[in-house]
Amino acid sequence: MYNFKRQFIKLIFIAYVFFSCFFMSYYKVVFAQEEPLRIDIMGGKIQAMPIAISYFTIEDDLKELKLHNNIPNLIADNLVNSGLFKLLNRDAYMQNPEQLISSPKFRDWRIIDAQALITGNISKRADNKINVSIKLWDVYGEKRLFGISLSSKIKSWRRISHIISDKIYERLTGEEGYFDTRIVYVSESGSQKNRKKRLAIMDQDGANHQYLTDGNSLVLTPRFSPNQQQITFFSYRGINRGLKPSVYLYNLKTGKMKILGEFPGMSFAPRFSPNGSNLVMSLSQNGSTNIHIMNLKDKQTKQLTKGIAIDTSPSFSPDGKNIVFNSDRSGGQHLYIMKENGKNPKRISFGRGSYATPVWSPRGDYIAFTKFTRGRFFIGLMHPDGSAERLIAEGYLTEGPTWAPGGRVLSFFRQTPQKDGSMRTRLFVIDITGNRERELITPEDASDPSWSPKNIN
Amino acid sequence: MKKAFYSSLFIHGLIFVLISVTLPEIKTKEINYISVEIVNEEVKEVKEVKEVKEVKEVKKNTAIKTAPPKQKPIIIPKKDKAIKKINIKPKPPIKKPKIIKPEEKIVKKIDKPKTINDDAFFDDMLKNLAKNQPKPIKPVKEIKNKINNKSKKTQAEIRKSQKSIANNIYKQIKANYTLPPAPDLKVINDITVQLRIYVRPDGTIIKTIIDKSSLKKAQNDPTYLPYVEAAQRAIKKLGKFEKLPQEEYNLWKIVDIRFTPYET
Repeated sequence: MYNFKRQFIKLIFIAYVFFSCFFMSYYKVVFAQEEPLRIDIMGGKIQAMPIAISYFTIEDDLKELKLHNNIPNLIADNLVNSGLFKLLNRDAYMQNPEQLISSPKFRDWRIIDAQALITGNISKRADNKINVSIKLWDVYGEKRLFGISLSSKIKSWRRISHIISDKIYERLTGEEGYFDTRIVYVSESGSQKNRKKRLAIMDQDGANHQYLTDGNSLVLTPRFSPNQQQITFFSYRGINRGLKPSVYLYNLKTGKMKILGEFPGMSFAPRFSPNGSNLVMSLSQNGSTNIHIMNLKDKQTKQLTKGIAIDTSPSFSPDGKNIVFNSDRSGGQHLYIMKENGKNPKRISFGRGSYATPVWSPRGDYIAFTKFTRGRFFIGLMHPDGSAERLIAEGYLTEGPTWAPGGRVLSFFRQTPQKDGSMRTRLFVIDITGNRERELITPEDASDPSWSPKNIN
Repeated sequence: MKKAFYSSLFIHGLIFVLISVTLPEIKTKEINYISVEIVNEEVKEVKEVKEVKEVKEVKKNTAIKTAPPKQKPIIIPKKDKAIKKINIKPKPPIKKPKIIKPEEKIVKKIDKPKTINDDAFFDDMLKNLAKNQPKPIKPVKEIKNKINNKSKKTQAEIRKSQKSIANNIYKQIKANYTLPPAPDLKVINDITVQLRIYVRPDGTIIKTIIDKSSLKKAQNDPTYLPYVEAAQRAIKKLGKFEKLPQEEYNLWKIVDIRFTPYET
């Protein structure tokens, strides 16, 4: 009996050992974590993102206004004009707006290779306002990326469309949108000898155009303030009353304008600081032109540059710590950067030709400028340390770059001689890659554009 | 009592030795990152041709050294033959329909678009095809086969296979990888997105997991999120890898992919 017990225990132990070994080898084969294959994907295709923007559903009362077509069309125009998106032909859509009310059939949208889908609905509220709700869908991820609902008066449908465009753009690119913005510029009309220059303002797509001044006096270099309510510009406005040409402030809400301080010499080339509390400009007196900064609250001014050189076109960095300007102190006209208090001026441009009108990008990574070399004008970009200079646009007279919010797109004006000897001056928009240049349609000749910050109202 | 204790100690010791003997095989293998860079399109094409040749050579070698896979070959080649025969020699219509082989029938009907529209016929054809389809491969058995095969391969051969597979996977993913809109602005060089994908033996991607660091960054940085989505989109758009060697499933069962949108 005792031997039998011992034999039994032995058997159990042997079985235990056997199964342990078996389990280990089985584990090794089946459950052991496989070492993954590792792959690096360097770079990728750069192409416009194919998107589908369906017409919106709408209440019967509003159908006459055609907002269910106009709003998606305007959103599509904004996104396509950015050059980053490609609108897929609506004839190819396999679902109509009514079928998209709940959730799209993603498979149907993948067939036409839509990467993002925008659907929407317009309804009328009790206070006669419209309510626009849109949804952005990730077709391959089969999920909703975001939804937004906006209410406004019917006449503000364009503004709603621009805000929606910004939201979509920001969600898909990760960058700040610029569609809900405006551009102020100098509208020019009349012969070259009797030129009429007026301040004009319009949406970034050219809509809602209006004149701000009557054209009785010459205006130049308008610039938006960061809070959008004010525009500063240079004008000969008071010259008939014995006033020198000066820098003025125009209030967009009230329509009133005022001269900005009494200076011994001529003031010009004004630009706001990023926080809107200061204004930098050039003051010309006794044969020299220097950069001054003015506190807009107490009107105190401080001279930032000294010497007999011509220092002009100051522009703040987005953090407000540095100022870029152009100066002929080294002989040729070049770009310099100095601290906000005027210290440590440092030359950053060293190429052939003359550099002018530098403007710091809202992102801080580029400085746009005008360059004159070999008898032609160019719009160029360089990093704030002067590196990676490249020219993105050219023309007979190409000048006055201004950045859109987000720092991806800029506007400038170009003057082109015509066959009859006249000049045609127009505004253009281009992105920092130098591609996708397009003309901004204006009623008359246009120059000196200034892009507003994003609408905050 | 002491005897029982010592015998227990001995047997546990034995188990420990046995386990430790088997453990080294479980040790993780060192696999280096295989960077594949395309200098320009022409070079890429040349490379592709060479790689195809390499794959063929590897396949030949494996055929000699290892046992053929248990999976039945797909019947498509037979159909190809039938198609070729019909395309090369357009025979007059056969008078005796009873003699015609079913394969030829299918080919003829495919040639006529009208018959394709016949739903009933199409359903029948699908059913027939379903019958002819090879049975699904059981992963466990296949893994065993592969491990057996692998044990016969040298380290150099494995590396060669890995490189070939990595090249193949790289091309398939890259063909579907589009950068998010608004590239070129990013002056930051550390935009990398890491994903882990799990693949079925037939090449279907069954699961995509975003690396923890990438996920965390995407949650906090809206400018980074589109890059994660672009990487995910590339994988979802691809859906299934083609032409991966099934006998080396172990090598591509799990794939870690690191997307670097902008080369530094």
